[in-house]
Amino acid sequence: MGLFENLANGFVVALSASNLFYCAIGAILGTAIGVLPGLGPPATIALLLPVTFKMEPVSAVIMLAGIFYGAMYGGSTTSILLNIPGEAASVVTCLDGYQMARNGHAGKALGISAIGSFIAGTLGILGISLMAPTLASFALKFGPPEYCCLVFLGLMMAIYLSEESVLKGLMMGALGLLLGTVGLDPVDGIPRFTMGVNRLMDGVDFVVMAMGLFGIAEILCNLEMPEKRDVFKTSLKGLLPTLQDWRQCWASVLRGSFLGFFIGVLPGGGAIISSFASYAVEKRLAKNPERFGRGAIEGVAAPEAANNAASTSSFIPLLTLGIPGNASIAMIFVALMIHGIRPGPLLLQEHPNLFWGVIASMYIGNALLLALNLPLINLWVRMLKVPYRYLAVVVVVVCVIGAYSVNNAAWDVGMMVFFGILGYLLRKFAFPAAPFILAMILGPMLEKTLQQSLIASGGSFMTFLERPIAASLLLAAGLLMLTPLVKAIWMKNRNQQQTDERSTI
Amino acid sequence: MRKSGNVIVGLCFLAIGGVFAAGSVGLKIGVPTEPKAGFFPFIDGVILSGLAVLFLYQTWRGRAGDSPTFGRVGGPAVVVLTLILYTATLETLGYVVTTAVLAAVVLRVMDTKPAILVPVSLILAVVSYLLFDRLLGVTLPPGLTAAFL
Repeated sequence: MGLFENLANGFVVALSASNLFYCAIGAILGTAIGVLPGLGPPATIALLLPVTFKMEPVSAVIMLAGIFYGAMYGGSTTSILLNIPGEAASVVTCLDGYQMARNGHAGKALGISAIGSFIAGTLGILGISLMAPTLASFALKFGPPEYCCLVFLGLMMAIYLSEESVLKGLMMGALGLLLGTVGLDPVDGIPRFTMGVNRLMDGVDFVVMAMGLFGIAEILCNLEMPEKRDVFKTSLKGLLPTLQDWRQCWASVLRGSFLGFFIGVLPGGGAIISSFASYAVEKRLAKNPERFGRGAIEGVAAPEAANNAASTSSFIPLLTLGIPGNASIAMIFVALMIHGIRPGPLLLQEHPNLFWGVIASMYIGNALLLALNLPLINLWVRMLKVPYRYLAVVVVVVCVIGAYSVNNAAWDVGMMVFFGILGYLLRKFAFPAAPFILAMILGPMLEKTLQQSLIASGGSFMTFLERPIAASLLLAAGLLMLTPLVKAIWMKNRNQQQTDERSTI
Repeated sequence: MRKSGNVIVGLCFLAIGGVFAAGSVGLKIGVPTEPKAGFFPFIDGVILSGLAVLFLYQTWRGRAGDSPTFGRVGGPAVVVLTLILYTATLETLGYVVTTAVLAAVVLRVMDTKPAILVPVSLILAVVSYLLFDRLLGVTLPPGLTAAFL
């Protein structure tokens, strides 16, 4: 079947009454959590995982995907009006968005961010539609060594691109891989590190862990800070950008879309890095870079376009290779696994309705978000005035219900509390959570493919270097890991050179 | 003093890596031609221990960054303790009673006035019970309120 036929079938799935409903729920919830600071998309998706247990898999993914890309739309509102990013990918929007609001152009900033996001989201979906099937059919050629190296590369990229230090990322990755081995050994069926606890035979439950690491930890961190929100009082009129505004920023939207799309495809890439990268590119290309940080419209348009394109394209590695690239996508991976669906190259063949249904729902979701964001902007602003304490208490209650409902046991609530404390401490010590959760999810796959590769090659590690695709992936991972070292040596040499020059003078 | 937090974290990672590596030996590691259940966790445990040593070295050299500064830790500590008690009593006292107490503690920590937190906590506990248990079919422990709800 051709692309258009597949997409048409996808639209049939996505336009069914129930899927349309879940798409709308996802988009609205996503916008709401994007607007509200203090609760990010991974936490919300984790909180809602138990709700999806009884849903159809395609409806579940449509809703969770809607939350993810919806949050990117909503995140800009708080950045522009409060100078507080609603979610991490909108941090950079604060720089010029808030200044635009202070200069009396809040409406214009919100408008360009919503329309730019829509354009980028749509381009991103077009990119997925074209790229995903090709990549999936290419991935069918992969054997265990290629998969092993791909997972390794994915983890290395997630670690390298995490905001904190590479060493901390590596430690978190290794810790995640270790916790992923808890439970029955996949080959011999021997219990590993269960400490005699029967409930650990199936391993650590991802849903419980995610709710603790993202939901409870987020609340605990926020409890430390005093609740303070001052919504910038300004006119929200003139939401539609003028022709002059468009002339000024259409190229930024397109550049942001393309850059965001390609960064989003990389495992570990995603919305946060793409928004920073596109802001840096725009500033470098600008005729008057000094306008940036003082309310430049391109400084809002480009990063908002980039984070939306990236959030859409980050579905590509999940749907085609079975590799989640960031924490939110990892939660969607877990949702698919709960329904017995293994994401990867076979997904397109085994579950075409799900694959194309989700992609088609993104087209609908994007249109819905544009329709929701601009006319309802006053509602979102009003929502910001709801005290955080009520949101926090609802999140805690939903977390305990969600954890309890996994096995109807208080044990899972206890595990969630444990991971909540762990997540809180990790944040305080600036250890990134994303490599940990990705490693825990990908660990069993890495172990299985490593064992299969070694057994098939008679115990030779050379199998990873003898196969071109595996070797290329491994080389890329190696280069990635060497980059900080090379950078450190280069910086040291440069500093030394500068010191020598100064002493000569 | 500024490094002590990082030293403790480094030692924790070192201990975890060591425990997993040692536990893997008990599970049998095998050889690359025939890897056993302990093969992968052994390698990973050793790697984690090595990384932890590197982290401790960086801390000692002052390159691992400062230990974090904790803000008002009283709030998170109270909520964590309440959550632990919640887990211990959830199945005996029941969802509504324990959740009302938990919600009240969270609201109190966030400086909510008693006149507001009592009704809000009670309403939240009862409404969420009715919504999830009765409407959405999630089985929640009734405990003490079994006769009323």
